[in-house]
Amino acid sequence: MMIRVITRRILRALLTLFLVVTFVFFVLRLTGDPVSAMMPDDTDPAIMDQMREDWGLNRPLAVQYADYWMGLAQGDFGNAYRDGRPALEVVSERIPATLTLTLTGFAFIVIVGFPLGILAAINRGTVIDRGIMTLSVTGFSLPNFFLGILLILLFSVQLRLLPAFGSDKWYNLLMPVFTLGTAGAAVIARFVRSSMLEVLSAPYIRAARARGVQERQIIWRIALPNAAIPTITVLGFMVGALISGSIVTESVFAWPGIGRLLIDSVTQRELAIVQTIVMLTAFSMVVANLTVDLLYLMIDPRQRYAATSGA
Amino acid sequence: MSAKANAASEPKKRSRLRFTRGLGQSPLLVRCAAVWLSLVVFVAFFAQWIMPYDPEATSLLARLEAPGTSTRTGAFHLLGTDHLGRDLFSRLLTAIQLTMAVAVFGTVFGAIVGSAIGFIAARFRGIVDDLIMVLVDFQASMPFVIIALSVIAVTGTGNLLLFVLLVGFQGWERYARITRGMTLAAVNHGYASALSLLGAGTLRVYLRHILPNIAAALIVQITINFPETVLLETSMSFLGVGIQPPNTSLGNLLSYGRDYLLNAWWIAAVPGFAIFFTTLAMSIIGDWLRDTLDPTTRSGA
Repeated sequence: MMIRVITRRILRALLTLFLVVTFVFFVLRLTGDPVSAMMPDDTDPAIMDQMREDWGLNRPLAVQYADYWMGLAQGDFGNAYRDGRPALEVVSERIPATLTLTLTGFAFIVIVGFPLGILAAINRGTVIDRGIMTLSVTGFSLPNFFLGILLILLFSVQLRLLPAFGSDKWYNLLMPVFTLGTAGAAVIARFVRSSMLEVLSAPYIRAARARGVQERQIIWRIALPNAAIPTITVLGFMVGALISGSIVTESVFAWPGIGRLLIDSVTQRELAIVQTIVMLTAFSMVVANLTVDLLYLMIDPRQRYAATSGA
Repeated sequence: MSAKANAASEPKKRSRLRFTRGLGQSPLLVRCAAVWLSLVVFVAFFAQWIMPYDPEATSLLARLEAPGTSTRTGAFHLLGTDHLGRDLFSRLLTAIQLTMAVAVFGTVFGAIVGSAIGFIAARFRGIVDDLIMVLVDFQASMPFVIIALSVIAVTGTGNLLLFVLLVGFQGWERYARITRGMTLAAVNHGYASALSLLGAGTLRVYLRHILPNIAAALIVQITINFPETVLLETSMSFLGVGIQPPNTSLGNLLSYGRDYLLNAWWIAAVPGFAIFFTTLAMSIIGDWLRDTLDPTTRSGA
């Protein structure tokens, strides 16, 4: 039974990947003629026709589509116009910088969001609770591009503590990670708070209290593990938010990652690089969603039961 | 089970709906937000009449003037001037106007297209429904900004109408999902089939009878979507792939300000706070509207 559920999830993930590739193919091929988009307007039509011929753009669409898949299967994502290097290679160089930023950002979300949420839940209705929730609303509403600029104004311009740009020292990470993670941490704090409050009002917590279990034990050993389960879903959503957020953050702090490469490639119309990044993003999202689904099934027996009996 | 416990059993929905609740649910806050939003709406309509100067008029003698300074020529700049000596207050007003226009048109467009797709799925069911739901799932699992950027990469920047439609398209899958689900439920209620038996056409049943019944849920979705549209537009304009000069959105203003952080912080701070206050106010008002419109959350409060 479990295997059937897992197979279904994996099939759905594959379907999403198939749709992404199809989407990218059609957006790139149908919304414009890459040759006329790339060449100056006064190019000799004969040369343009020759280029279309060379690139196989005048073949039937179905043939091009099949060819596109063949290329992808062999790791061929096209070449950058500017220097003719394989797009996959150009993008791969930027992966470490983006991974450093997003993984640290993810850690920031968890490390900041969870304790704040727990603290607010334990002190429900007090000044602490209200303070944390006000912070959370502010963090959620503050656009990350503006937050980044405020940080630069405060720490680089006014206090002269941190450099506004650069990526080779550990402290270069501080402002970008704060910019990237604040909104997510605000959402998680909010979610953990309500999840904790819900669990704390459950009958088994009352039963534990009646048995004389210490409050500290109740919160950390009983309530928190149960409250943490539903946050896995929200943490899964965070992957998408981190990817979108890194585009802005990398641009504000001149961080040499994929996000900034994407913006540069969009303005320079480096379609091969754009399509590579879109597919890489889709792949990460699909893997993240699949991981969340499977983690959920592994951790929560009720989900397992619902999934197998509902199937 | 009390209504409170009932609402608490859906933590995910609850946390999203009550996001700004932590501020103490004070009506004062809602009023402040309403005042700010009214100001923004007023500016959106009447910017041309209240701006003190031409937002494009440059003055090389009055570059990078701090807020509240009067220049030698006698001009008073409430919010200072930018690197070309343009009056920041006037530029802020036009930028608010454009940002709001894009957000309103975009949101309305997205709501109409999304709900129409949802209606189509509910009307035809079967393979059409399956296909639409696959697309909805696909959209929900991809960050929209990536899709928007890949379209911009192909079409190029500078097409304002395309950009507005693109930005508005964000969130279509949520309208589609809500409309589809609620329409399917409404059809089962019998009043819809009674109407078709009486000879009402399909369009009439959907638009005149089902739509009003699901309008509250769609309005709630619009209040969630509207600030997201503002943020998407301003961040894309900030990145240089959204609104293009000579048009100016709040995102453009902020990105110009980024180059002058060292000696003219106000150029970035003024549009930045304008975006921040507007999205914050909309979240507060949206929450309040949701509580008023949605009877299921009203009892839980």
